[in-house]
Amino acid sequence: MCWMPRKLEFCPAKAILTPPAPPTGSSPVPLLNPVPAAHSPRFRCPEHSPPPTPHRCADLSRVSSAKGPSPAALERLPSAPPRMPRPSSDVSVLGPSTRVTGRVSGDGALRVEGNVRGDIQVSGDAEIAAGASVEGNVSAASLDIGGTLLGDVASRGPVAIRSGAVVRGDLRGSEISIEPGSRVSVRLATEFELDLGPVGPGAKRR
Amino acid sequence: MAGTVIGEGLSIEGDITSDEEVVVQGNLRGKLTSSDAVSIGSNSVVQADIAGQSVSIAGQVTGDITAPERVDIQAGGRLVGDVKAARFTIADGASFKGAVDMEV
Repeated sequence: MCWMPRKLEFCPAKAILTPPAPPTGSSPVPLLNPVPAAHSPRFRCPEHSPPPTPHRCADLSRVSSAKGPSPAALERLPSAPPRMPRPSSDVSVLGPSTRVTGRVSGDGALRVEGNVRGDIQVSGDAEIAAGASVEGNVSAASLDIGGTLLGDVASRGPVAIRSGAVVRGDLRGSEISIEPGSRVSVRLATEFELDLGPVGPGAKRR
Repeated sequence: MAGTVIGEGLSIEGDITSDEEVVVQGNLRGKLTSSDAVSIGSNSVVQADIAGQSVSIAGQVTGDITAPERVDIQAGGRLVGDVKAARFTIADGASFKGAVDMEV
């Protein structure tokens, strides 16, 4: 918006030569130092040649899309709603009074509030809520334990053991946090990287 | 929201018992027992005997259904198995093969 008046002000002088730079930068800067671009005055002056006007339009549109977030967000908006229902059906919940004996596997996230006796293998995040108990091995993208877990954990992401949790088994994860107040008897097999400078290729195994 | 949701993409092989509403949108093989309502979503495949207060089926179920209250097979639902319930409906477009026992 502020370009138009400025350009018009500058036009009678010789500063109109500015436009080439603006699309990327902020408007005031190129307008204030038109001197280096002064070599091609005929090309840019809106009053002497028609091309500049489309130029301006293009510039404006470019600038608006360069300030991107808002248009991009607008574009995303329509696609956002269809995403919303997905997570809700992708999140599985085993409620507090639910007992499962057997194997639980599949895609999506899983929240266990009840009792599972058997292995759990999900592609998404898993959570064992406070009061829940799992006897079996758990494999997930990440794992949050607030209840009881007797079994091994293989997590691609972080494993969090909350206060009040009881955990026994081998833990493998990108990082493991243990809150005070939890009872934990585990073997940690996390692979974190210490900043010790260059380490061999084995440093990043997974 | 139901107390227990077995989401789309999740599979359970084994027994499930619950005292709350159970919604199955994924796959189940084994046995499902709830003292509350059970509903089987349209995309789910279930091979299990199901017992619930009431059972609603929109997906594919193979197994016997027992519900003191009612059993509904919704349009698009498919049930192969026996039904034991006080009330039983089969919607237009649903398919059913099995016996019905309404305890008359």
